[in-house]
Amino acid sequence: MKTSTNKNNVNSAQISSIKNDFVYAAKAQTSIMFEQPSTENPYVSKANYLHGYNVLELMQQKSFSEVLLLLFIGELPEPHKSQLFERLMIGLMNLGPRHPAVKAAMVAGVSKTNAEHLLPIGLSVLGGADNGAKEVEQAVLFLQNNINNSVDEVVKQFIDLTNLDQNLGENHPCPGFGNSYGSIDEYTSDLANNLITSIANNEHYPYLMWAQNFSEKLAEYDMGWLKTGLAAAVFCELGIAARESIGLYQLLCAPGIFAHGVEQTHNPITSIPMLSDEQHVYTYQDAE
Amino acid sequence: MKNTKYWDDRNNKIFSNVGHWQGGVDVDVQGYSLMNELMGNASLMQVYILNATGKLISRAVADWVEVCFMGLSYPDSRIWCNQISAYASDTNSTVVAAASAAILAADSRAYGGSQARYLSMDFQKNAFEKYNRSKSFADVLKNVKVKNGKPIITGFARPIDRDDERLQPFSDVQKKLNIPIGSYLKFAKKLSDYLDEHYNLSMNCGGYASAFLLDQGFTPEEGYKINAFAVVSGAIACHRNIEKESPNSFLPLKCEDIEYTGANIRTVV
Repeated sequence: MKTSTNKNNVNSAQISSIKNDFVYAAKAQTSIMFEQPSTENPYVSKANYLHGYNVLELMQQKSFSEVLLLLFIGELPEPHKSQLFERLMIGLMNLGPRHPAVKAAMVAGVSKTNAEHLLPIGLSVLGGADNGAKEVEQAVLFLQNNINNSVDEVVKQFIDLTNLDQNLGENHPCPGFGNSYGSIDEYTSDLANNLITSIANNEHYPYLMWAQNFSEKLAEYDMGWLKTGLAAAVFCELGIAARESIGLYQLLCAPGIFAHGVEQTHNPITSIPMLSDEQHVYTYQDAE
Repeated sequence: MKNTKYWDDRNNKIFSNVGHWQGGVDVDVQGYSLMNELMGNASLMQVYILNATGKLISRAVADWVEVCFMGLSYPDSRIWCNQISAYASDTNSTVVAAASAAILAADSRAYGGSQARYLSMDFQKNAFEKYNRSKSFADVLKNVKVKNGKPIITGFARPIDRDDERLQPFSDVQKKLNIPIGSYLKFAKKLSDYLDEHYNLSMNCGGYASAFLLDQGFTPEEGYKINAFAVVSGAIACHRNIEKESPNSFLPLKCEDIEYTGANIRTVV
């Protein structure tokens, strides 16, 4: 076997001396799950505890949405919060076959990409800062920063900064809110109204109410809720932090991405349009 | 009805200024014929950078970037993106899944040469302008975040160790290829001397490569694109290293190898 004989190789003692600016932990840490080892095999767990609760017990007594919230916030949610979350989960389960993330999975599916890649492909596209998970993160921060500000003032501030010419494309003057294809996203407005009318006590949901008022004010500019803003408002109510909101949004939207992608794998590669040369308009511009 | 002209124009139509495939005939890449001009005349790295930036650079500069890529991807599974590729191999995921996961992993503000290249070039570009105005490194560092008493500047500190083995070959190859040291690289070296004297920090290969790309006229955004897949080679090696092994054989952990710091065991009420 060929082994390294490079005289410049440093030994482990030298490595540790030059690493002294950086101290790495001896073990990875987590506050989420405790895996109790088997007495027979230290690599096998005998029981798993999620934020202190035995997973078997959670399986018996709690719903999927309650345990999903436990996973992210560390505590079992009050029933009205898990109900709100579950409604959002249904609303976001399928973004529809025209969302870029779903289209990406569909194109992958029809072009015979391995089925196990479909969801990662769609979720990568869904990671974006426009109509994607990064926008949700920014929307969470936007709501947290503005919850105590007057809706009228915030609208004025952002509209003043916005070029309202819709022929330049979609306009999201602040993350999570704006127009969709140049006008109010009617379906998302209905999702939001449905969530809000199902709430028993509005006082428990300051973020949703603020965002609803904000969307109503934006309506005069042909703007309003976007799905990313709706998710962000609910996440704020549930105590989901901005960074956590990124993956949770991807998770909630994942079922539709995969379902549409895998559906296409059963179809011939010709079942999605391939544009003609005439439909691919190439204009060469010299970058130099 | 709403005015949907912007979208109607694009309905079932793609507007491109990067290139066009004319089936059975040729491919236009930014004004160059792929079949007749680029194939056989340009290197893969030249064509890659043409696609990434729209600029057909000299063979020498492309060759230097190629050497830089060699320095951005080691066949060592301890490195984060490679470790991820090895985990993909451990579950018998495909090599493409492993490579993609590694590339995504290296889209990091801490290492990897893609996002890190953007951050480093962006810093150096602004720092260079500031220094030319004020001639003061203290001024350049005024708004830089500080951790443990040291400024955090991508390209001027290395997570693993302080000496960067790639700096010498980067410099030697640049000389060998007759690529002059430009004003950004001169500035980066001066900044490195200042940081070394005051903070025990110095330029790493990322800082060098960022200055080099700025000297070649690339923007930070172009640097990000050029380096998008820079870690893929070592990641594929690390997938290969594990592919014949049993499942759960790469860095297996005992339950106690994870330190649990969460809530005590409790009962659902």
